[in-house]
Amino acid sequence: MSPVLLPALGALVVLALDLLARPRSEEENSARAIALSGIRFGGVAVLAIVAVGGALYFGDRAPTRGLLGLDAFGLFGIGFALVSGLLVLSLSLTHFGMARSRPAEPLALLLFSWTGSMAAMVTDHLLLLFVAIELAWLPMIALVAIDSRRLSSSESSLKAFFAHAFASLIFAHGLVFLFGATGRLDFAALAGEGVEESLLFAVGLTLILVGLLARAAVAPFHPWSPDVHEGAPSFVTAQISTISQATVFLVLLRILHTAPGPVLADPDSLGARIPTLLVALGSLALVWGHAMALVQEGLRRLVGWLAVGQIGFLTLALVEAQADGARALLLGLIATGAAIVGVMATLSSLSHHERACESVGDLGGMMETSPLRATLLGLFLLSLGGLPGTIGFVARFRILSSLEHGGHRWALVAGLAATVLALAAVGRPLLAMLRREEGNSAGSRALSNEQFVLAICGSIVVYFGIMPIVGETNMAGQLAIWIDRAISSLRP
Amino acid sequence: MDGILAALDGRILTAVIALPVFAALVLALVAYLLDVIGLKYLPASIWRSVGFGASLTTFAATVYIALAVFDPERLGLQVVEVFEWSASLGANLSFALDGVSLCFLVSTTGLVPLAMMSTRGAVDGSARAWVLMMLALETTMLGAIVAANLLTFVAFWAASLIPLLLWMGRWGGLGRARAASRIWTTEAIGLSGLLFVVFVLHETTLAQFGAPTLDLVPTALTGTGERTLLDVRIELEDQWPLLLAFGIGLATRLPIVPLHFWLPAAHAAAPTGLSVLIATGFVQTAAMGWLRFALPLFPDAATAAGPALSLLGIVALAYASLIALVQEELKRLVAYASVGYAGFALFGISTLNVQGLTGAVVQLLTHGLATAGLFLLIGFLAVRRGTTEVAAFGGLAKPMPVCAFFFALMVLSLMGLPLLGGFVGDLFVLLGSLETRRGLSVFALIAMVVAASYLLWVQRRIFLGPVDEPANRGLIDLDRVERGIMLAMTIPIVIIGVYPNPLLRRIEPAMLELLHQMERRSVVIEAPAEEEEGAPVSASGRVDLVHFDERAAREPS
Amino acid sequence: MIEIGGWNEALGGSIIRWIAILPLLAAFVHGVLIGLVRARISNRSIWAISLSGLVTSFALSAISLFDLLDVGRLDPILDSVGPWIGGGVGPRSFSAELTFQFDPLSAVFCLTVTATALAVYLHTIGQVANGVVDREAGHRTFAMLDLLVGSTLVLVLADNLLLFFLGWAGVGIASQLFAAFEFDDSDASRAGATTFVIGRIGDLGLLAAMLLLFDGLSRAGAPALTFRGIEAAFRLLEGQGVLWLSYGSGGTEAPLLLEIVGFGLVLAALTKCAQVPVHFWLPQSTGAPVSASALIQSSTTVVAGIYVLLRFAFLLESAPGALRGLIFAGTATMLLTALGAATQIRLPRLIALTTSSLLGLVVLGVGIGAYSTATFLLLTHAFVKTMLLLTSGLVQSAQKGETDLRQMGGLAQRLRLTHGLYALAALAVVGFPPFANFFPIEELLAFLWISARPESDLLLCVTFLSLGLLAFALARSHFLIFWGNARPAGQATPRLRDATGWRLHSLTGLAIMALLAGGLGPSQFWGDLFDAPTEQMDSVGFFLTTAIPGGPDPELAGFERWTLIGGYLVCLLLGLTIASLRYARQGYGTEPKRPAIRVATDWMREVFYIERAAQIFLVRPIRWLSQEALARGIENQLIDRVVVTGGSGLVRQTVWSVLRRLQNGRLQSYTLIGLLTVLVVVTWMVV
Repeated sequence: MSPVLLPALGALVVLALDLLARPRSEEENSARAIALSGIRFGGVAVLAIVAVGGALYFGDRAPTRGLLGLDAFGLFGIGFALVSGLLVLSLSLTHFGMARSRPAEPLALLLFSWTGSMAAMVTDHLLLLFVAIELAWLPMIALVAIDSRRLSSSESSLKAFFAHAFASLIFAHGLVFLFGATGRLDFAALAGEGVEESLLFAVGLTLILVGLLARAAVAPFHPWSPDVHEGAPSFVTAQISTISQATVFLVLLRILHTAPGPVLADPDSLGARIPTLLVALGSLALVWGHAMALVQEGLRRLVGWLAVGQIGFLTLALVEAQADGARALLLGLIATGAAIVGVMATLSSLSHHERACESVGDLGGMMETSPLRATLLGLFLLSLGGLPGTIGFVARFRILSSLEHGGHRWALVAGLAATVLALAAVGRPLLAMLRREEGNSAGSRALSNEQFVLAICGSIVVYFGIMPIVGETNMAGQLAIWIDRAISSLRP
Repeated sequence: MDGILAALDGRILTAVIALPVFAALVLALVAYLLDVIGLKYLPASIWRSVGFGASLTTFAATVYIALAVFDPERLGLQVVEVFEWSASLGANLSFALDGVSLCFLVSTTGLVPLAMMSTRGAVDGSARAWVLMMLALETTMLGAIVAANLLTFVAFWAASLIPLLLWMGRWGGLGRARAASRIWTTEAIGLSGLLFVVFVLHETTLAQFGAPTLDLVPTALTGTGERTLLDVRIELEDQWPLLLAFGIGLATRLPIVPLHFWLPAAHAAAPTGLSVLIATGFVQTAAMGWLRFALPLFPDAATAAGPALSLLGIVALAYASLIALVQEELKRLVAYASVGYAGFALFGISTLNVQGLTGAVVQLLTHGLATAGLFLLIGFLAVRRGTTEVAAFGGLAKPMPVCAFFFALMVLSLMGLPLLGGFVGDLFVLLGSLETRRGLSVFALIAMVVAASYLLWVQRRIFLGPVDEPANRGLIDLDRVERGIMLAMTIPIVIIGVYPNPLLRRIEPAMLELLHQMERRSVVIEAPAEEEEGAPVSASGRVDLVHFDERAAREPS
Repeated sequence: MIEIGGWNEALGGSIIRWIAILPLLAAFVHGVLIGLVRARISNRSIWAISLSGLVTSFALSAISLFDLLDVGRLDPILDSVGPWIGGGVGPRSFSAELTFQFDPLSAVFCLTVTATALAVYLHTIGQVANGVVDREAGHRTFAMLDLLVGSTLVLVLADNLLLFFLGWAGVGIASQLFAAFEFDDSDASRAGATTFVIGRIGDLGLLAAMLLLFDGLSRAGAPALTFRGIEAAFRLLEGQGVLWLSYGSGGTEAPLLLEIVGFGLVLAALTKCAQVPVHFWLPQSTGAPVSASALIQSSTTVVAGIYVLLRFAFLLESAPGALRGLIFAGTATMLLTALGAATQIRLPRLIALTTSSLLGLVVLGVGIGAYSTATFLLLTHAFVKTMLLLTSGLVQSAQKGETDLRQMGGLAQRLRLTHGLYALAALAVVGFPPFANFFPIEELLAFLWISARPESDLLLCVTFLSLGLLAFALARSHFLIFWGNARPAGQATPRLRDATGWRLHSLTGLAIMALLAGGLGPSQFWGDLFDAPTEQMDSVGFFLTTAIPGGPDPELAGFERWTLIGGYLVCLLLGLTIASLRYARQGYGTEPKRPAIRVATDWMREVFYIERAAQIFLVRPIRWLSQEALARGIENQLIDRVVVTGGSGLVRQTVWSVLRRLQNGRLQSYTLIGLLTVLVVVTWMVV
């Protein structure tokens, strides 16, 4: 049995235990106890996954193909999912600590969605991909609405639901067309050998791509994403902007690597147009997201728009998917995930019971009250802005230089313009933090789990920023090797 | 001592750059540990004294480098120190010295302790953030000044913003938020310009050498062997956009009209010590960008744009001076003065000959010192009087003659009085401009001579005339520390003015090397023409008196 | 390096530098004491510091003069301290050395400056001793005097352009400091500002001239910074028949450039010796202590102006336009300021205007090429003008600082000595024979008479007229001060005392000089006496021949000479008599009634409102430009508001107005956008 199913198992265990350990009364303390027990079980499950995944990963087995077969690329995805899953879980503890809701369902949902993501990352069959992606996203939509006290939460969940319905619809149509054209639904079908109905095939492939892009909230399919960032609890946002996002982009990468076949080869067909499409959508997302981030007052919303911009960058990385773009994309996923999770952790650590940290103004004088977190938040924001010395810069450098290398000068210019916008947008919270705020009481202390997340994200951002990829010598070099192995495993 | 030197052999420059922030971090760690084991915070005095000591040590180390390590006779970069950073980015952490960066290095490191002392009273609240930011700012500025790698330069360039902004936002005066956001926005624009150049050059070197390099010094770490960034061939039509992007980036910081708008706001809001550093090191990083990267990398575009840049410089000088003439607030006034002198420096740089470039560097040094001194004096006045409006003062020469004395000295140096530093730079810039920009040089002269009159105007309004404000009557003169600071500011100005040759001997080789590089890298001038050095005149039908010996000519016939 | 004469050799060959450096050292010591240490030291030590410096440099210049006068040798004595500023590559490289040269011209000026300065110092000591000036003011006075004298000496001893400019700037700073001496008085500070601005204009001229000259020479292949080097290069290039300043191809610019250099020098000179239209700093800066303005107006600041002309005489001769401007300015100054002096009611302003007027004569002399005579006149002028100013200082101090001529009168009985001294000084200034100024003025008239210039006759007439006016003005002041019946101001002061002690001794010395200085170079008179060839007799002229160009003094036939001298004397006497008739008895009387006359008087008194014109037509427009057009218009409105605020605002506006509308939170519109995108993409991709 494939290890990607382990989380589902864990979820079942959690649910079962929850059923068994259902308390007689709904008192707070018992609820708290249950929460803790559920968390413990969740932790157990996660540790199991980590163990298995790690064993699979380091014991570099011969890649197996198949419905849920593992190759280095899939392994990379699983590793990514595991690390970020760990972060998400530990971030979720804050929520469970505060919320009265019972932790079992959300935990189960998280685990289920991981199963979906991992399956989507490794599978080589489009139908399974469809199911996996649904499995990956639907729990998230439920989780977005978990904070039932907040109206914005449920509203954003509704929007997200419609957006995903839309995306799945398109993707499903794509499948239909593709099946009509080729009569098969494994990835090899995308190569389009022996296609008689090239129109059907083209439409199908396009629809699949667009559906995935829409799923990844690339502009103009993005409008739900800021709402979600605003409404959802931190750990859900973290999950969405790491695992769920990565899922879609990894799948896209796999598709774009498999796709080029005889049909796409000839230049005047859509094979030549896919990069242009990606450049167009990516640049649009870049400018749109960062421009909107420029005018936001709500902090989480601002981060949401920055995330939209980041998605634009990732989309641009796909343009040169066959060349350097792939490596750049993987690095970009790490960069974006680390930065946004870090921001989310900081925000949730700042907005405990007594003092909500919702708008940019609330950051005022943060450098006074909690210098360490202020520094970290600044780092994450600057990494999103792409300042040299942060992982954000390295990733952006890779992406843009891959574009420059591929001769897309305009995408490069758009990226730089977006950098200006991003820096300007990031500047406002940054300056707000640096500002001296008279009579500003000390902010809430960070809980230990948030400190953990902050430490991880901060070290990722700084370390990979200061120490870009230099060879086998250090951790960064190791990462580079993994990335290379993953990418090379894509080529048949 | 020798042991230390031996240990630092080949790393001394890096050590000097890293020393301030290293000291700061160690101190922070100690404080954190003390906090953890339950002791209370370190007292502010310890922070201050340690920070002061660290900056002072840095200054001593730079002086040691200048005297013992640096070899003024050698052309080109020396004291080269390269550390592996990222081969695939073509970026190494490489530092190197030439005469110019040496001068800027010494002046910046020397000014930091003074800035620390000058703000000693004004710091409220946590001294620790204050010391940390001061030292971090020093390190970042020094790194940008001596960086011999484009990406290193850009990284330090960008990094120096953060402590600057923190300092501005934390200890700034009225309007600090506006100033900070202005700085941030302009620098964001400039930074993206620099990044554009980085990307393109990265690709170009990758295409031409097979491996990317952004280093100015040959190193084994990049896969390009002996070839450096200076060996890459950039066609003229590529040079133009690159020079434009890079120039915008540098012009935002130098700052050149019309990208100067952040500076008056910044100076008006900044605490004194920060103004001092902005006026000197922060601006000098931009000059280093011009001299070390922009001119050698894009020689043809720079040469072609020279006249336009010169014109821009003069216009900036005249414009800023005229605006300074009617400023009613001292800090803004001096800020506009420094904008004007930045324009003059650009004029000197754009003359593209040895004397002009040397003059520009000297001028940046001395006028930076003088404006910094003015900012210090204004700070002292503000501490005593609580305002920096010109109208609030008058007749101060009676209650505080020493202050008046130093103010006059700085003003005179800015006006280019002989025997004071300002004169040398102005003289050289004008001589150089006469060679290549004869038409403009007359206007430059007029602008330069007339420009400084506003300084006299304000000096008269502050220090001369009757003491009409009762609040000014009881003002106490500079105390011992302040006198010491001002004296320390004055001594280099006087030394440079009285005997500038040692300074010039260190700067000129660097400029010669720069011009040589430009000539070598030019893609349009194939034959290195002597025309650059407007010389043997026999060509144009004029008498050739190469052997004209002035001494001999003085013997009466 | 030339081998140097006995004394210099005996003293190690490096005494020239000390002539200039010692006073500067004294100034530096004073400056540190006043500005930095704020130490209060006794009067005696103050005087010791200053006097030791001055006396030594006086002695040294005298010694060097003897060396210079060694038989048959009038070469400059060079004293090189070492390299100063240098740089550049190729033919443009230059190295300005810290070298002092002592040639006849420098010698004359050194001795004049140090001698007059000595008198002034002693007088100031007298003032402090008599308690006319308090200790602190005395200390500042001495510091600035040292600075002034030292800078002047640097200027006259400089061997290259940069060193010369150093001295020049020092003189300018010292003059400004003196003008603003009473710095807590707004008028004084304003005067300081005026002096400074005008000085800047002069610096501008001088710098432009120097730089263009050096540039031209180095373009011609003969870069030279030293005066002798420049002259040699100039002659050499001329001798080779080259348009030596021709730039690039063709020599069309050459005369123009030479003219520019000439004009720069002329402008510089005019500013320093207070000529129209930049004269007004001198009358304004009379707030300075009397001793200071005595030195400024006699032998330091004004000397700087003339000296630059004499140094570059060889160059000016080939810049006809500049020369014409010089002559015009000199003549205009002579007349206008004489008119101003004739109608002035404030004693210091009156004397300052007479200075300007007489210097106008000197400038005119330089303009028509009578260099040695101009030098001679400057020399005598130094002594007599110092004397006049010091005596006027006596009057003022006796009147407790009252400077209004209308408030004076009838002092003759109580200030007999001062009365006599003032009369002597006034006569000497207008050059009444046999006093000092007579001989050079007479020589100048002879030059004018024989000069080939078409306008020379006109110049002659103007000179006569203004000399007469000068005589009138000074006589008028004399009568108003000393004659007539005593005025309230005179009565009010309890005890009017004549000068005593050092104030008196210094004046006696000056008086002797005023009597004898004329004997230094009255060529034709001695010639007549000993019927010997003139040029041997004209000591000054002969002495200067190696230093400055210009032929021997004119030999006039007896008749012409006596007519000239006669006309001159007639003008003087006319002025005196008119003044005596008008003022000797009834004093000042009342302001003129008739409006026309009153207006005319005001115009003359204000020297035709040149200063106010400058204010209105230069200063105000500039301030308006800065204030309204630039600061308010461009900086605030355009850059600040439109570009910066507006620019960022525009971005935000567009974002709000456009993108916000798309981000309206309605699912329908989101879905619609999505569907449209899908359709567009599919069609574009497939078709």
